[in-house]
Amino acid sequence: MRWSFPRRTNVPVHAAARSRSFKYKVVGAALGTVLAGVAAYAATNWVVGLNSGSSGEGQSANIANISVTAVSSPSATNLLYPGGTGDVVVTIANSNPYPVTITAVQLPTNTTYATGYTTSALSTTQTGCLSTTPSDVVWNYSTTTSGSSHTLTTPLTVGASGQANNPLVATLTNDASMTAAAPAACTATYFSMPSLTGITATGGAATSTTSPATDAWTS
Amino acid sequence: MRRQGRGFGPCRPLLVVIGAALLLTPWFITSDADAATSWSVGLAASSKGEAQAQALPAAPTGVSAACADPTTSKTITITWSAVTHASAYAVYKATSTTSTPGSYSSVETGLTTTSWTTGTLTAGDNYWFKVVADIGTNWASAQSSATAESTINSSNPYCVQP
Repeated sequence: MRWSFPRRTNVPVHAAARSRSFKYKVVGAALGTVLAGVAAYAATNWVVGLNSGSSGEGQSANIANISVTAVSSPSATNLLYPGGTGDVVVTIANSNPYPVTITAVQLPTNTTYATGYTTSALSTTQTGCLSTTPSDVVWNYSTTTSGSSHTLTTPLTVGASGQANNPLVATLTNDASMTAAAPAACTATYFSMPSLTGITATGGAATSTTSPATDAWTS
Repeated sequence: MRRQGRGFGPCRPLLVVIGAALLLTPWFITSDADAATSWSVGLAASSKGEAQAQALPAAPTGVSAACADPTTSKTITITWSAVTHASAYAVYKATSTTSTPGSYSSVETGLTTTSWTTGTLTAGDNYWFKVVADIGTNWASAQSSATAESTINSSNPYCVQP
């Protein structure tokens, strides 16, 4: 026997028409609410990726990658020594029309070593203190696995393109480490740290971090 | 004539659309939020920022020698000031029968304190000492200044400082 909605009997024709019209309005309002909510969410937050230093990366339309480069100023105050840690200073640039907040970084392995240079200009390599020597300088807390993620103590928000605090200079406290076996040639040397493998960042309304800033990951 | 009405019959297609939207919306939202992408980034070799290593440690200061017990022993205790980040110290000794020291040679390494006492020394000899600070396996400071001459005798006082 075919199943169907229960029938209602003795319903006037004009009343039935009003009833159907009301139902259409209710359904339409509910559908509109759902669609509006989805659109509002999509307009609020975007996932942001990281510029590659070697080649361009595919990215979603309207989302530009963040670039992170080394910078010599302000000078690191915690200097590296064998068995110890030191500061790393970076500058972060954002070309998006909205602020970008970075909450974590992804690091290369703990056997990916920095290259040593004779001056802060990082133009002349230091003999006997290269990444291949090795220099024994790595990102602190890096592991045997490439891409290990490390959360910043405080999220760093880079201002929107053309706005204040963009680029943002940040000193990452004690986020470089030097093993006890570092060569003597690495004394009084400047290091270009190994490339980060990625960052965790989102774009959207936020108050930018005042530059220069101090931050770190501690695990 | 009264018309027999039906329930939401004409609205069935709309209901299907709404139901599908409600079911799928969480998936769309979370998939975008959870797609935390990351790309490799290079730190340009010519950039001006970086980490920096300190210079070699300075030679220890305040190095001095004192007779451990001149009335009974022919030993000398050497002390010095700590060097920042030093992981160990090494002591060098020079010996001579005159007041001019000979060449220095290592007599103790791997010291983790800032003092060291010799074993029994040879009567009739004069001694001078220097100290080196080590940081890690391969970094070492220059030798410190020499201690004052210490003389070892065969009888009491067995040890004399100038």
